[in-house]
Order: sequence, then C-alpha cells, then structure tokens
Amino acid sequence: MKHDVLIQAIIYLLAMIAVVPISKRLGLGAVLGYLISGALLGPSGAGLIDGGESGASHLSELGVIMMLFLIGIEVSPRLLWQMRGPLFGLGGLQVAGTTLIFGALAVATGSPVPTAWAIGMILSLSSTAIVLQTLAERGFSKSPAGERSFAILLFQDIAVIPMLAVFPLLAPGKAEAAGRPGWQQGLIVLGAIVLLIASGRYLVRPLFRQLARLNLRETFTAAALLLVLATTALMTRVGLSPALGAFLAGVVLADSEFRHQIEADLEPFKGLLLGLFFISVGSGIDLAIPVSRPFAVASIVSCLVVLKGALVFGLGKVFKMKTADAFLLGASLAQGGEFAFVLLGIAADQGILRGPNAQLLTSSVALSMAVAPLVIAAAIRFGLPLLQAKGAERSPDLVEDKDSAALVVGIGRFGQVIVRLLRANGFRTTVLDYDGEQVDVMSRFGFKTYFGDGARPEVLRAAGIEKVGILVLAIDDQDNAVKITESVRAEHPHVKIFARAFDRVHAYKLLNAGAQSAVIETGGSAVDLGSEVLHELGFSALRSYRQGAWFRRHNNRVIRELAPLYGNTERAVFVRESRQRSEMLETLLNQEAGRGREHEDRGWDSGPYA
Amino acid sequence: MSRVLIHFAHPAIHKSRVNRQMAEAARGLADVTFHDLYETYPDFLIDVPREQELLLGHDVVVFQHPFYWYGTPSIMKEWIDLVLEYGFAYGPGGNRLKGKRWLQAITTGGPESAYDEAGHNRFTVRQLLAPIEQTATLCNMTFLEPFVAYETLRLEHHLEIPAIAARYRQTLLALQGAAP
Repeated sequence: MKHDVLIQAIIYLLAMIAVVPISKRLGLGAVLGYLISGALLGPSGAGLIDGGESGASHLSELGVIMMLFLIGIEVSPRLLWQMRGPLFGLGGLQVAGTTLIFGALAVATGSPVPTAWAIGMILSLSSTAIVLQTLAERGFSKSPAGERSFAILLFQDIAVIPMLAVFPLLAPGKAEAAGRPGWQQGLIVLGAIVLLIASGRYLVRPLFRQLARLNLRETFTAAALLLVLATTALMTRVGLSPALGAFLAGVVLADSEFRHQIEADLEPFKGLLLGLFFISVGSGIDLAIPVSRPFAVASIVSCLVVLKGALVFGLGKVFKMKTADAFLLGASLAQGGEFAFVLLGIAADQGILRGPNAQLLTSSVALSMAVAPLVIAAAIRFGLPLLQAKGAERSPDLVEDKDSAALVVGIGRFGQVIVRLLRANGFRTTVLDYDGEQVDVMSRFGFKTYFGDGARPEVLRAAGIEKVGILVLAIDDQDNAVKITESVRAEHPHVKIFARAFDRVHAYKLLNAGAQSAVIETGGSAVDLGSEVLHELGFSALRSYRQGAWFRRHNNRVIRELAPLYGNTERAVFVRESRQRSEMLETLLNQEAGRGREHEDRGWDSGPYA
Repeated sequence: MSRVLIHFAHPAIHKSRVNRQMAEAARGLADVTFHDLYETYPDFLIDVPREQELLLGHDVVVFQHPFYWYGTPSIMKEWIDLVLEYGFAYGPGGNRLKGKRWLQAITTGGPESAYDEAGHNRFTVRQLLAPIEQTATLCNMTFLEPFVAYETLRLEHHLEIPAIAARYRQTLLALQGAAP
C-alpha cells in the first residue's frame, strides 16, 4: 500500500490519461473506464491505490459536490416550469415506479422494509453521463427519446436531494441524530436555506458583479470555488448533506448573468474531480464478488435492465410516445447510475445496507452501466427498424429552453443593433459579453445577457452553441474574432458564422477562416453618409440612394473576389498589414479609374417609344 | 424541346397559398429555370445584364404572380422597365427576343364571373393584361393565352389548390414539349 500522496496523485492521473482514450475507443465511455481502472488498481486488484477512506477519496467527493452545484446552476425555475410535464410527470412516475418495483423485489427476497426502500431508490437512478453521451454519439440527442431522457435524468438528479435527506431516517437507530428534537432541527435547516438565498441575492451576486467589473479571471474562479465550498460547509454544520448544500448554492446563482462563466470556470475542476471520484469508487469495488457470486450478480443486472427498461417503455406509451421512441427511451434508461455509488456508500455507512450486500449492488450497478452503451446501441440498430412504422412522423417536440435562434457574442454598439433587429422579428437570442459594465447596462434594459469570454470554447458550449445554428460575432477584438471563427468551424461545423469585420483585411481573414458572411462595420454607414453627400450635391434622393447601394454591392463583390489573395496567414507574415491595406486601396482605385463609375439604369432613358 | 424560364414575383411568400403550391410544382420540373425575383433582388437592384442573358438562354418566358390591382407586383414592373431595353428588346437592333413566347400565369382573388364586362371588375383578365400583351408584342414575342387561377381566397386548401398546381404543371410541360 502506497501512502505517499505524490505517488497516489501520479497513479490517479496516469490512470485517467491512459484509460479514457482506450475506453472511448471501445465505446464504453470515460465513466466506465474510470470504474474499471479503479477496480484494477484498487485493493482487490493490483493494490496500487488505497480503497475507500483515504485522502484521495475526500478530495474526490468534491467532484460530486461540484457536479451537484453545476446541476443546481442549470436548473432555472423558468426551465423547470417549461419542462414540468415530462419532468415531473414522466420523471416522477419513473422514479416512483422503479422504487416500488425494486423495493418490492427486495422485500420478496428477504430485506427489511427500510432497506428495501433504500434499494428501490438507489436502483431507480440512471446514468446521466452514459445515457446522454451515448445518445449524442449516435445522433439521437434531439429525438423524442433523447429529449425525454434528458427530462427524466434531470428529475432524477433533483430527486437525489430528497433521497439524501430521507436516508438518515431509514437508518437503524437514527445513526446521524444531531441530538436536537426534530422540529428544532427542521427550523435550523430552514433558517440556513433562507440565509443562503438571502445572501445569494444581496451578497453573492453584487460581489460577483464587482469581480466581473475588475476583469480578474482567477479571482472570479476563486470566488466561484469559495462559494461552493462555503455553502457546503454551512449545510454540513446544520446537518444536511454537502451535496444538498452545493445544489442549493447552484440554484441561487442559476438565473444570474454569470452562470456561463462560472460553469466554464468550474467545469475543468468538476471533470477532474469526478474522474477521481469514479476511480476511487472503482477501487472500492470488490472484484471477488462478481467472480464468486456470478449468478447473483447476473440476475440482479438482468432484473435491473429488463424491469427498468420495461417500466420506462410502459410509461413512454402512457405519455403518448410512438412505440419506437418509447422503446429507445426504455433501453436508454435501463441501467443504474453514478449516484447509486454515492447512495450505496452512504447506505453502508449508516447501516441501512450490510456491507456485502452493498458490494453486491455496487458491482451489479457497475456492470449494468458497462452494458448500457451496448444496450442502447442494440436498441437503435435492431429495435428501431423493427418498430418504426413506414413514414412515421416524429412525435411532437418538447418545449425547452431551446428557443434561441442565434448566439450573439458581443453586445456593444454593433451587436446591440442586431439583437434588437432579431428581437423585433420575434427571434430570441442568447447574448454573451465579457465586459462587466456592458452586461450591467444591458441587463437593466431588459436583455438576457450572460457574462463570459466567447473566446473560450467551454463558455460557448455552456451558452448553448451546439443548440443554435447561428453565431453572430460582434466583438471588438479582431484577433479573437478570427480565432473564434476557426475554432467554431472546427468543433461545431453545423454553426453558421456571421461576423463583424473591422476592415477589408479583417474581412478576408474571417472569410478565409470559414465565416459565412463578414460585413465591414463601416461599409454600410459610410455609404449612407456618402449618399447623403451626393444628395446634397444635387442628385435626387432615389439617385443618391441607388448609386450608394450599387457602389456598396460592387464593393462587396470585390472583397469576396480578392479574399483568397489577401488575409491568409502566410502572406501576413511577410507583408505588414498596413502595407496590405494601402496596396488594396490602390488596386481598387485603379479598377475604378478607367470606366464610368456611375451605375446606369438605361431602361429609364427616354426613348423614341416613351 | 423548349427551354422554359419562370419569373416568380410574390412579395410575401409566407402568406401565399396558391402561388406557393404552384411554385413548388414548377420547381419540381426538370430543365425549367425557376427565378424568384423578390428573393434575388430584395433591394430592387436588378442586374440587367444578367436578366438579359437569362432571357436569351430560354425560349418561353413565364411570369407567375398574384394579380395585384389588375397588374403585377411592383418588382415585375421594375423588371419590365429596366430589362427590356431599347436596342435589346425593341427599337433598331432590338430583336433579341423575337419569336420567343410570353406566358402570364396569375392568380386572382375574385371569381371568373367578376372578370367580365357585366361583372364586378368590368373587364376580362385578357383585357386587363393589355399593357403587358402589348409589351410582349412590341418585343416581337408571342403573347400566349394567360394561365389564370381564379377565386384563390375561397379555395379549399386540400382539394382544389393541388388541382390548380397540377394544371399549372401540365401547362409548363406542354410548353416545354413544344418546339421552340
């Protein structure tokens, strides 16, 4: 057994780096990879890392806390309201139904009733990570099954909170009694929650706003971490679970304009710590069990998969899904979930479940997760073609928070106009800006704005770039605009980019980087003013306008034509940008010098037949 | 085989029913050029050389549009004013369009009975199309009997409109099939 923290850390990190690519290649997903490597490296395997209660496992619990915080921050009351049907209806019935079925099975096989409740609840949860990832990989995220899976999984995530609260009540002899009468305890908890919400509104948000104004990234990140840890500590003091505290902290910040930035800042931490968490859970799996009791494990796993899948399928039909969609829904959710490990650990600690039984269930849940991607893939490949009626239409889509037509990055002078134009025509947009003061002003005038650095891919992702088809780039910073264009084209090729360009050279760079359209910010307005001058010089209004408009059209065409020659990076290395600009002006003036510059509408000439 | 060019002019396609289905029927035909004027020139800056080139490359020129105030939507007037230039379409040397055929394919709100001397609109459709007919004639083109879909406001969406679209399609096919 190695106790040296450094060595442990190295082993964990090596495991993460080595395992994930392999397990992804095998189609198993990262989570399973972590579990397996934990099992292999842990006490029942190679014995390289400590199982259970080591320093590493405390750190890894932070991963769960982060995950719950980030869940909380995603749960805005408005979103919940829109999804209330599938969320509480389908989700609620799924959790309740599964709990009852497996609870009954547990009682039938000899468990005491409180234990059976715990088992039922534990097995009702499915694996958010695996389901959403697998469906996304096969392209089914937006299918009816995919969308309802999301709703049910979201409900399950929420349901964990009351489950965590209920578990201590199931323990024999109330192991976690804080020594206070129940009603006092309840009041204290309520007080803590109110304190949290109040400080959230009057302390935390203004604090974050100040930090945002200062534009200090690390301080912002530190503040987010501090928030999570502090609220967690507060909640544990009053006897609640740390997970609940983290969840509530997240909810407090859910509707704030900093949501995306916080999510982006914490995401890497969460990812790492969750990985740690799964490895340490895996190291707690006793490999001897599946080997020594194969029949028990196999029967639990098959019950879990078949019964749960069937229940969800049935619920899907009750909620009027087409047979094929309900089938995929059932297959997608037919496994145990990550939270089962958390709950099983707590159950074992509190004496609700005996150690060996907890181990048995842990192994079974892990196995069910291992086969889940295969089950889903098989359902898609073999089940759907059989069940789909010819030319069947899709069942009606869920109403979600997906009604953003475009993601607009940059809400200064340029971006504002675009957002207002879109809004005037009934299109909602998600807006991102990295200037705290701008965000403030916009928020006061009623725009839904998020604070975040659009140059960071994870911020764009958090702001939902995968859900929109259009990105409007209206930022000041020229280099960032080009970088963002390149990275979005690479990572989200379905997104069309409409970019604001500083000048011709910048427009070339953007077009060459893959923007669908790059409009020079001065082009239109300069022509407008120029047309007014023509008018002043004696042209009629129509003539002034048309000449301006034709000139602009000609200009744009030239820009598109010259794009391949200019703005490419190799040339930029050798030719200074300012030189490029003056070269270009010369070219244009030369082209226009020779022929008549005025656009002619000969049809309006008076002719002999007029 | 004749080459058919359709100029489509509807300023509010999202509100159209009949014209939209007619357009779909036309778009579905092979070797028919479907040219949406408002879509191509939302700013009315008609590319005259390009339009003239299109005309030269086809044998039958169709104009499909709703009958607005006994005439065409404004972009069609703009098109006629700018594209049929002196020296190209008419006047000395202006015989580039000679012999081509011109078809007006329109939809009206009122019933056929209204388009009559004794009727509500006091003139027949053919009479109301006189300026356009004369335009075609001046360009030495053959003005064909117009395709008219009457009473569009009253039509049943599921039954009668597809029938009109089908009739339109037949007309286009027949034009296509004839010799240039």
